[in-house]
Amino acid sequence: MTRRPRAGRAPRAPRLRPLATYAAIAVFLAACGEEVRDSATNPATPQAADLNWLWSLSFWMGTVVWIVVMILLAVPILRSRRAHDDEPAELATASAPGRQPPGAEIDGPMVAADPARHAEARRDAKVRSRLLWIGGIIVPVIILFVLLIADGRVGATTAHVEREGELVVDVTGHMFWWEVSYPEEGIVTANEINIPVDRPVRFRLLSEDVIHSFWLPPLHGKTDMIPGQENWQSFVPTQTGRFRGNCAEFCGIAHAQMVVWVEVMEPDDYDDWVLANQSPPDAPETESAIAGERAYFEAGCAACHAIDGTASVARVGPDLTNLASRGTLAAGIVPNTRDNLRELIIDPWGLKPGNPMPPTIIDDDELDALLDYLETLQ
Amino acid sequence: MSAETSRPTDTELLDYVWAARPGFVGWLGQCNHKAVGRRFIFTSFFFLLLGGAMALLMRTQLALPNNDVMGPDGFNQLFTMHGTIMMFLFVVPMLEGFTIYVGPLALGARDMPMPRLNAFGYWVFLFGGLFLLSSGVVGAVPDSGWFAYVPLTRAEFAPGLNLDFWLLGVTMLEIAGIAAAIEVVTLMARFRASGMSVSRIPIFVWSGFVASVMILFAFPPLVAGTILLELDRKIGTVFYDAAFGGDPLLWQHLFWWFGHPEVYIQLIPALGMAAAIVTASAQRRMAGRTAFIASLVAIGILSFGLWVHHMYATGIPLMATSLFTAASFMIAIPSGVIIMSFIGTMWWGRLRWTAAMYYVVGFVIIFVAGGITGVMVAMVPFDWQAHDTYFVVAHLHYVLVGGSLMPILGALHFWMPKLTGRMMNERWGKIAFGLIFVGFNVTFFPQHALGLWGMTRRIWTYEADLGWNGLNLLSTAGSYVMGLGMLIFTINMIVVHLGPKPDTPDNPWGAESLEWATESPAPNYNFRSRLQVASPEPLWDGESVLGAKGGEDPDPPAWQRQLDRPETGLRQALATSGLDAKPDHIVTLPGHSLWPLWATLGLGVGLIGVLLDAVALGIVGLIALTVAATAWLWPGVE
Repeated sequence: MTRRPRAGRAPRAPRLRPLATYAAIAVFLAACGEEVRDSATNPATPQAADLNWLWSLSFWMGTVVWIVVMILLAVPILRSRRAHDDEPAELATASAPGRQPPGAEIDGPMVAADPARHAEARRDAKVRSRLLWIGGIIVPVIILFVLLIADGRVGATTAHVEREGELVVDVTGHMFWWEVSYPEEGIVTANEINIPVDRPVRFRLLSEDVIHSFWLPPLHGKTDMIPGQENWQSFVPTQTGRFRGNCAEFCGIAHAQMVVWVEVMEPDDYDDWVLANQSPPDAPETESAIAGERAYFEAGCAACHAIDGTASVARVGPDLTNLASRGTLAAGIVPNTRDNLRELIIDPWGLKPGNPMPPTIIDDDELDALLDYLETLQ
Repeated sequence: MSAETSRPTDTELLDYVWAARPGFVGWLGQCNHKAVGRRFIFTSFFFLLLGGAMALLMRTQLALPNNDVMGPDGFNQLFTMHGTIMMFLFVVPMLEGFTIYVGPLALGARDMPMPRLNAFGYWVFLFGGLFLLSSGVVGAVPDSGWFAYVPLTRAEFAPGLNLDFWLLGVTMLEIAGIAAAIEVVTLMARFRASGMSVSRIPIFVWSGFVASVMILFAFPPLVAGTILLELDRKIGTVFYDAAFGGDPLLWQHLFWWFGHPEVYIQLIPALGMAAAIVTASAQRRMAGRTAFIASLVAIGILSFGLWVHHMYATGIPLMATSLFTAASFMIAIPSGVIIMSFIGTMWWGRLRWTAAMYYVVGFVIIFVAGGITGVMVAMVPFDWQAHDTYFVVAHLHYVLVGGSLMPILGALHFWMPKLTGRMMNERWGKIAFGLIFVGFNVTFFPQHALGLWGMTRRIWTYEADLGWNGLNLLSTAGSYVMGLGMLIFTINMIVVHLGPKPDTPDNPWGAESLEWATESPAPNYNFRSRLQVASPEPLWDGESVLGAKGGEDPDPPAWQRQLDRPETGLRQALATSGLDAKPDHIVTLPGHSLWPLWATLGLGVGLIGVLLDAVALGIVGLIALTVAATAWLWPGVE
């Protein structure tokens, strides 16, 4: 004696739920109206535009495929609701045995005892075979070929190739900041990269410790920085602007706060920037700044940092030569203000937990002098 | 003993021979597939709840920008343990548990072919899980991600015990997985009911078999990889150290050679579960049954050709990576056949809407979306954008929650009567489904957008001006809804097990495969009397012989008499020939044994020795393991 579970309850049309969900998302987005800062869907280079085109193509094809599959799924669901209205489906069990039609041994339709259903079974086998062949094999193969061709074309236009007249910038990943150097121009800086618009740029990506990944969504995809390996990323920036990127490969405790900024500038501005940064900063002039330079060495800053034109040449932490002309601090996470700089010096872990920089023990007068000095580094 | 008057019936004798010994020791020493399978299932369900709770904590931290529910160390530990628990302690053991419990029943066998190895697999799994969790007690929770990329996990960057816990724990879990896989492969090859030729094996067992063969090829490289890394950490070898000519990418290759098949190992048995549910709900054979099984096999083979698609951003030349794009695309074809097979089955069948069937429909809706984004990220240039962002987080959850969790929850509804003799409450099951389904989509759908908007993975905080605030809040809200659904599911599962045992029907769903031919829950000996299978749906075809529960087989063959009346007191089972399942010989299976437990403890002590650099302890453990394994294998020793 088998008990039948209650069969009558109509499904609450599960296929409607995602629609409702997506509608909720759309409403939420409209209500929110946030502006997204750096999006892969808002490209600023031809390369990122190609990537975005590939995304749009696959998104729309994928959406159509999903909707078609959902319609195919909805048909039996609706049909079964109708079937329940007029005839309660009878269970085929061992106590109500049926025989299979001849020739159905391996893969034929499983038919209940009723021979009147054989015609229906044959009709259905045909539908089923079409579903499998067309829906499962032929259509997917066509779609995949289209995507494969699109993929190959975009791959060719976005490859990290060498271009004529390119600017080469070395970027080295550290836990948890970016060392930036311009070998041709002889500039070393950190966390902020300035490049001219409309000139091809190629980044040589290295790592000093663990694997990091270099990614600025509007400019190009990501490229890993792997110790013992040299990776390249190249693109042609065609829009000026300031772009933000986060380290994309988990690299330890402060991975979330390892931010890089790329500033794409007009060529003239870039040339000015290069000129300004090629020479070491002017020696401190005010009394306070001179005291600050002394404090810089006494407090031990020089053990890790470097400032061109001084005896401070260590390469453990970011180069501070042009610190005052940078927009951000602590690997791009906070604006470069006097208060943030003060906090970074005396309590680096408050701003950025896991920061390898130790807190500096320094009295208030010396700290003010040190800040005065650091503000002269342009 | 007066022979005639107190002569037990066949059933009593069988029951006695196959029963667990009385008392706690007897309970502990059970090796029967039903005990082991149930243990796997319910232990891994506990880990599911644990991993889910961790996910809720993470979403709480990410609900608002610059949130301070926790710091980066806590967050890093949480995402590491969430991934590790869900992969190694929930999905794989859960699927193994179902294969171990349902597999022999669906094949008409009496037990797994190597019951002690089976028990060993469970104990190693349990110990490995406890070992991983114990890292919390000593405050050294693994925190380098479930992928443990070098060099971040080498001793210079991860000096604590954290990673040692992870490496040794995962190694134990892999051993457990390999043990179960060996069992399942042997089971399907030789332990079937008479007449159950290869073409008549239930799809669920096929799926377990394919996944097991994959485990045999996929897990050993990770065991090798973790041992190399442990050597790097403990005795200073340089396999992964670029400074000495090692290669950090070697780890990624070894890891993803395991890691990619792993996701299909989590998918394929779940497809088999969904197939079993659909077949029963639609009351018809799977549309394109052969194509379905062939697709499972094809996915199993192809999945070994995809591992580099996790490494597109590592600087591997485009020409090499595009090969993996093509291979990844290829897997969409058998997947498409499988989805069409599900839809075709529903088309022809007259669906009955059980809670289990709801989960299958949820699986199709979610999994198709995850498969589509899978095709997207298989394209190298697009993956440069999507890789390591929330787009991938969304994609993998669509695939794994859709492809594994949904069928597993459905399977718990579906097979619970066979597991424990209780039916789960259908109404509450459907309510839980609704909450999980809606909550899941609200949680993960927005994450696609977040990823493209630049939100990278594994970040514990984000600034307020990036445009990510609204969707993160929405995502967190969704995760609470999903958590509520899981809570209702769990309460439902607990509540139905309170109170006196109801009279559960043998086959509440009118399903077709052999596990439904016996009582609910299955008796100790599974089946009595002759089974002769005539089609892939033995309960439906009217020709198969389904054993006898009350009546007697009028003319049983001699070997069947011997199986049904174990006068010797030995647990005996039928082994059949490989392809056509002709009765071949009778094997005697061991019953109660504590040696697998002692062997596990020996292994555990040895690994704790490695963990603590205590050589003496390591040697003691090794000796204990050797002694236990010897006693285990010694003829006549129990």
